[in-house]
Amino acid sequence: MKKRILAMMAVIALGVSSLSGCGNSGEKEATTTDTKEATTDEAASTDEVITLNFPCIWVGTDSKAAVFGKMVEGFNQEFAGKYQVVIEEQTDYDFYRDKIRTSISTGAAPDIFTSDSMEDLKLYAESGKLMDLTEFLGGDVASRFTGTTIEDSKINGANFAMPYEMAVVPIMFNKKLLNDAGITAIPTSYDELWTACDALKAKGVFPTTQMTNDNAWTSMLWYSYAVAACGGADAYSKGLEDPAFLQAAEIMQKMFTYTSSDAVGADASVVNGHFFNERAAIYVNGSWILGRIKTEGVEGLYDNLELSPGLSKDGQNGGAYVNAVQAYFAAGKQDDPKKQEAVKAFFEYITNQDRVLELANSSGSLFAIDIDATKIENTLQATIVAQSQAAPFMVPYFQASVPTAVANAFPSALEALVLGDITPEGFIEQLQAAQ
Amino acid sequence: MKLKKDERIGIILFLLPAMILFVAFFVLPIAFIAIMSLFEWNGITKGTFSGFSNYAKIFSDHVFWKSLRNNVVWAFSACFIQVPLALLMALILSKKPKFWKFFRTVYFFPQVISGIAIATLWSAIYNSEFGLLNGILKAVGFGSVAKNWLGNPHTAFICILIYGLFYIGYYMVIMMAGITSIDETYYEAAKIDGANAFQMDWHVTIPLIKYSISTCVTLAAVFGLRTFEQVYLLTNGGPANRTSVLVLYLYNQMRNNNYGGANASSVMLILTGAVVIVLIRKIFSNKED
Repeated sequence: MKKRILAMMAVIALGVSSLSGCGNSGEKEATTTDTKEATTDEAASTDEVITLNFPCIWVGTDSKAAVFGKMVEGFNQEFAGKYQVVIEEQTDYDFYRDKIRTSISTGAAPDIFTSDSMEDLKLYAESGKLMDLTEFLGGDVASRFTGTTIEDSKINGANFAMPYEMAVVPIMFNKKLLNDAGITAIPTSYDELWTACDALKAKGVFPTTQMTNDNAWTSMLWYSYAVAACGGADAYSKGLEDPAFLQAAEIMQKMFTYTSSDAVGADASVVNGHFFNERAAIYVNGSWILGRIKTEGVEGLYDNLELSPGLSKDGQNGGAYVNAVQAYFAAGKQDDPKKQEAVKAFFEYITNQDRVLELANSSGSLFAIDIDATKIENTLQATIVAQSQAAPFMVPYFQASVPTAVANAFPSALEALVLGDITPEGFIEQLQAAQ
Repeated sequence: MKLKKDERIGIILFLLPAMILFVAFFVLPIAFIAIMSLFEWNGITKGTFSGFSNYAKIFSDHVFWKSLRNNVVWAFSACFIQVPLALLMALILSKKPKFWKFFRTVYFFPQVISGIAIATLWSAIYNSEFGLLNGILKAVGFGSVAKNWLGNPHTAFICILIYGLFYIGYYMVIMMAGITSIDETYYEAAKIDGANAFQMDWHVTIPLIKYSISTCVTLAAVFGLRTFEQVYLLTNGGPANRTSVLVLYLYNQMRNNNYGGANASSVMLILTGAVVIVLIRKIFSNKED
């Protein structure tokens, strides 16, 4: 009997200790929270350092990593003892998007983050978890931004995101490979492009680079240019029912007959590898890639590049430029006014025109901040600016212009199209079904 | 045997901590998923009740059925190819031939290497322009067979399955542990009866490690049903969703901010897993009887 009582006591002790363990940790958590609150209160009263966490994608091999990192360091030094931005490095775009979405849905929005999707930002703003930047962006900093980018970024009349990096996308031609194939003039229409492609193919060079993995980025840009050529400036406003999307699908179908055999399933590394190593002659990507072409491309590639705006189709809509906001800065809603000030101070710091110019010169990227174009050191980048300014019309890229589900359906629909599973009409139906 | 009251209380108290954790971290999340599968929900804003519309949507989506079919094929290939291969290796290596420790390590090696590293290696093998596989084919005069293995609708899924087959080490080790625990006297008796090595394996070893095999088959089926990493890294479900699996389908629903659909897919995945496990247990328990 004694043994049983002892065993029972042991069991109860074990149970209670494990529960009390939970209780303790809860207590500990409560204590930690209390401490945090106390710290915040204290900070409010004694001007302690306000820390902003910033999951950042511009790290690692990203062309903006070095100078942007320096910019953050500069901010931390300038505001030492007051504000501090702590970068949390993220290197994969898909995982970055998932992380931001998950953080926001669980009520733990990062203090600062970037997003390339206005659709996602609308959702976050709707949930009330973003900081309202309307007053800030309507103030002194407004004059730093180009054109109507701030106005265009409004969600229900308010700014919840600050436009920052622009996707200004030229078509890049390797002149050396084109010349070797007997092409002396850069194509300006799709008919001329097909002629050039035939000549390049005959020379054993992949005429274009295409991909379907991940978000099919470069092929999506080709498609965007095809939509611009077929539908003009307002193709997106008419929706996927516009015949331009169907005609653009036909162009993509043909485009895939002029690419490498690994295009279906290829990701950005494959596409870049082909162009950087002169296995492919024509490539489409944003201006930010120029920095990588310079450092990672084969010798002479950078100097052999010639850039052009969009091509015309049946003599129409030539010279367009794909130009849209590529990265917005946003901030999680802050209850602490000091933290709000810290966020504003950081946004003000990174939109300083001189700093942005340095970032543009180092990375090849272009920004929504109005910088002196004459100070752009990189000639190709300057060409992009000049060409885009001279363009008869600008169009956003497909991914930024359609709902997230449609953008996500694009790669598999494109694969089905080029594999012959579906017709161009079927391609449009697949995209429509995803809406 | 009827337990006394204080014994019952003791058992309950012992089970309680684990039960609390199980309910908190397993039962409640599953219940949440099941409930939220009945809502239109983007994961950010408040959801709205929509009955079984999420299920209706996924059932009418051919990608869902393709994913489910791929999962079933994957689970079958794991059970009927991976596990028998692992059994074969376990039987051979448990006889301790020369270098058996080396080979045991080699077969187990894929389990300890990062999936990303292995996937990168396999994409390099399968690449159509510079891949090892096409290189070998061209070198031996079969250049006409060379293709974009992961981008070809007819070969992509098989290629991923082959890659998956290299993960036999885990099952092999489980079965080797089972073989080690078999009493030597069974083999001595079999020898006296004139059994050869194959007969000993067939009539002694395999029946005696039935529970290890059952465990491996269950694990293989479960791993097969929740496959994600290999597919995501090698093809991302392509070409044209031909290699998609349920977890990837679910993941894509989340990427589309369709958490209601993702939850409905999760419920379907859980149900499929439950059915498969019950079937496997049934098959093995029948044999036992």
